[in-house]
Amino acid sequence: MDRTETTGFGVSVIGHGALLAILALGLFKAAGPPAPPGAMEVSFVDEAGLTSAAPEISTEAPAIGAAPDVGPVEDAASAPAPTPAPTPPQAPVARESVAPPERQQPRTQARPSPRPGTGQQTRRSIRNDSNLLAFLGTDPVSQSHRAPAQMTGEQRASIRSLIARALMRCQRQPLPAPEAAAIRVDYRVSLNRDGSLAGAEFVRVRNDDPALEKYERRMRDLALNVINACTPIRGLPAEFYDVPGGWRQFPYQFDPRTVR
Amino acid sequence: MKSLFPLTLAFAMLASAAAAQEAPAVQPPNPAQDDEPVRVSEGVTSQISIAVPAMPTPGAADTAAGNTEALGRQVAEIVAADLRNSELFAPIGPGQLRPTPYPQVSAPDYPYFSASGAQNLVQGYVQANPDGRLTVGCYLYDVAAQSQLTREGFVVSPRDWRRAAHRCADMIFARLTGEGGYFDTRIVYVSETGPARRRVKRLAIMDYDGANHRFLTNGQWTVLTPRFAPNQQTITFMTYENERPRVMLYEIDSGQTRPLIQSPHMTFAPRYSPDSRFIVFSMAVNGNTDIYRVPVSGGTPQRLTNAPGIDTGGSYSPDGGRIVFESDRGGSQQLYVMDADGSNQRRISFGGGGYGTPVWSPRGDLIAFTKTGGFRIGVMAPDGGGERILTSGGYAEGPTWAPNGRAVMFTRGASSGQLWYVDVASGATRRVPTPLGGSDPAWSPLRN
Repeated sequence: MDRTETTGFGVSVIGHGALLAILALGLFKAAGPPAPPGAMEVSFVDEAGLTSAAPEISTEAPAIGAAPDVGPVEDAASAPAPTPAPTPPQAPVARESVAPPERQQPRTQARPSPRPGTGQQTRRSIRNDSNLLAFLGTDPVSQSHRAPAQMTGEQRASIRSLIARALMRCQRQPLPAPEAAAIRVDYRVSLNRDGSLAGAEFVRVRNDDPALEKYERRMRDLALNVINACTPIRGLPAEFYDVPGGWRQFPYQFDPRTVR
Repeated sequence: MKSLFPLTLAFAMLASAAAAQEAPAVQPPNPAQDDEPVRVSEGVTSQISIAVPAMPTPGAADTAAGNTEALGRQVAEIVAADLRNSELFAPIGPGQLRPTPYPQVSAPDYPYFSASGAQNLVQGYVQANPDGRLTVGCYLYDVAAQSQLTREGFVVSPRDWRRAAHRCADMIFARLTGEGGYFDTRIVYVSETGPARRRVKRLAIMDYDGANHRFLTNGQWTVLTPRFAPNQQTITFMTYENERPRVMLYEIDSGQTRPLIQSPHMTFAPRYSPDSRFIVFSMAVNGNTDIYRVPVSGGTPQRLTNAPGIDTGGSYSPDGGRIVFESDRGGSQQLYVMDADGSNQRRISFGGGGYGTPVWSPRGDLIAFTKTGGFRIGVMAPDGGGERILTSGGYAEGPTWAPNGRAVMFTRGASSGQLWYVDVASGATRRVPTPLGGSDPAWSPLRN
C-alpha cells in the first residue's frame, strides 16, 4: 500500500466515521414517533392521582351494578301494591320493606349470608386503601366508559393487589387436611364490568406429592369457593376493566400455604 | 471495504442502544407479569359447617325398622352425629332446621340454608320399597356455589337401616375431606366388668358408634387382644383358657371358635396380614419369645425372628411387605421393622421410656404405638422419624387405626378401661360409648 492509498484509506475511514456519527445523531433525534395529538400522559408519581387524558368516546350509562349502593335491584320492581289500600307515596322506593323474606332470589342475589354484607365490606375496605386508589385514580365507579387506557405494570399489580385483598377478606371453607396446603390450584377468572363473576376456567392443579392426590378434587372446590364467595368485587377502576392486562380477566391461584 | 461493515454495525447498535435508553415513559405491560396470578395464600383448618335437615319420605310406610317418616329424621341424626364424631365437621342437625319437603330434596332452598350459616348441605329421603327393603337417598350440596357435589342411594334391609345412614356420612366425609370414611365400620373389643381381681373379660362387637352391641364370648375365659381380619370373616384373639395363653380364631358368621395352631407353647399377640391369609403371632419356646407366621387355615408356623429376648407385637405394613414389632433385644423395649420374611431387621425407635404395641397405619405413612414410659399414644414415620405424642394425661395404651388412617382408637384407664378416639391431625379426642368398661379395641375395615 503506497502513500496515496494509505491517505485514501484514512480519508475513507474518517469519512465513514463522520457519516455514521451524523446518522447516529439523526437517529437520536428521530427516535420515537412523534407524539400524537391528545396522547395520554402517564405519571409514575405514587401520590399523584392518575387521570386518563384520553378523550371520552362514550357517554353510555354504567353497567348494571355500578351504582354506588348495590342492592337487590329486582326488589324495587317487585314492589307491588297488592291491596287496594292507598299506597304511601314513598312505597315504590322503599326497597327493603317490600322484599318477601324467603323469596327465591336470582343467583347473584342468593349467595350465602356473608355475601351481601361481604360485598359492601369489601367495597368499604377497598375504599380505605387510599394509597392504592390514589395511585390508581379515585374513580372506582366511573359513570362513563372511557377509551381503553394503557396500563403500566405497576398499575396492573396494584389492581391485582386490590383483587387479592378482596379475595382474602371473605369467609372460606376449611382445607380437607393441613397437609393439603401444599397443593396449589390455578383458575382463569373473568369478571363482569360490575365486578360480579362472569366465569372461572380451571387451569391446573400443582402438586408434586402423590400422597396428596386425594385432596386435589376438594382443593379445586375450595379454590372456586373463594371466587364464588368473594364476588362481586367492588371498587375496581372502571377505566382499567377492558384494557390489556385489565381486570376483565386475570389468572388466579389458590395457594393456601399459610394456614390459620 | 468489507472490513468496515462491522464498524458500521457497531455504530448503528450504539445508536440503537442510545435510542432505547430514551424509550417512552409508558412501558407496555411485561408479559411475564401478565402471568403473575392473583394469589390467595391463606387457608383455614376449622371445622366444616354442614346442614343436615330431617329427610322426608315420598310416602309414609311402616317397615320392620319403623315408619319411614320417623326413619328420615333418625337417619339425619345419625349422619349429623357421625360427622360430629369425626371432629372435622360442625353439623347443624335436624333439631335446628326445618324438615325438607320431598320436592326440595333435589332442589334445595339455598337461601334458607345460607342463612343458617351452613357451607354445605346434606339432604335425602327414606323410601320403603315393595320388596320390603329401604332406599336411603343421600345428596350433598355446596351452599355457596349452589351446586350438587355428589349423591348416592343405598338399598338396605330394614335391620341395616343405620348402615345406610353411616354410608351416607361416609360419602359426605370422602367428598369433603378427600379421605375414605370410617362410619360404616365395627369395633371388636374386650368388655370388662367386675372387681379388678375377678374381672370378667368378654369379647364384644358393636358398630363404631356403639350401636348394635353384642357379646361374642360368655366370659368363662379371659380374652385379650382381639383383631379383625381384613376380610371381616374371622376375629383372632388370645384367651387364657385353662390358664394357658393361646391364640384363637373366631368365625363371625358361624360363631365357631378354634385354636390357631395346636402347640404346647404359649402363643399370643396375633395380627392378620393385609390379605387375611396369614397371622403373625408370638410364641414362647424354651424361654425365648419370637414372632412367627402361620396361614389362617393352620399349619406349621414359620419363625421370623430369633434374637434373644422377647420379640412380640408384630403388625404388617399395608402392602404386606414389612412388619413392625417390639423387642427388648437392645436392653429396653423398642420398635423394630423387618421385611415380611424376617430379614433386614432394624431398630426405628430410640427414645427413652420404651415403646410397645406398634400398629402400622392403613395408609402406610405412620406407625402408632404406646409409649410405655407414662403410657401415651404416639405416632412416628416407618423410619422412626417425626415422633409425635397424641394423648396427654391418664393411662393410655393399645392403639388401633380407623380404616382411613386418620384416627386412632385406644384404651384409657388402667383399672377401669374406656375406649377413646383421637384424630391424628388435630389431636381432638372423645370417648367411645360402651355399655360396660372396655379395652383392647380393634377397628374393622369399611364394611362391604
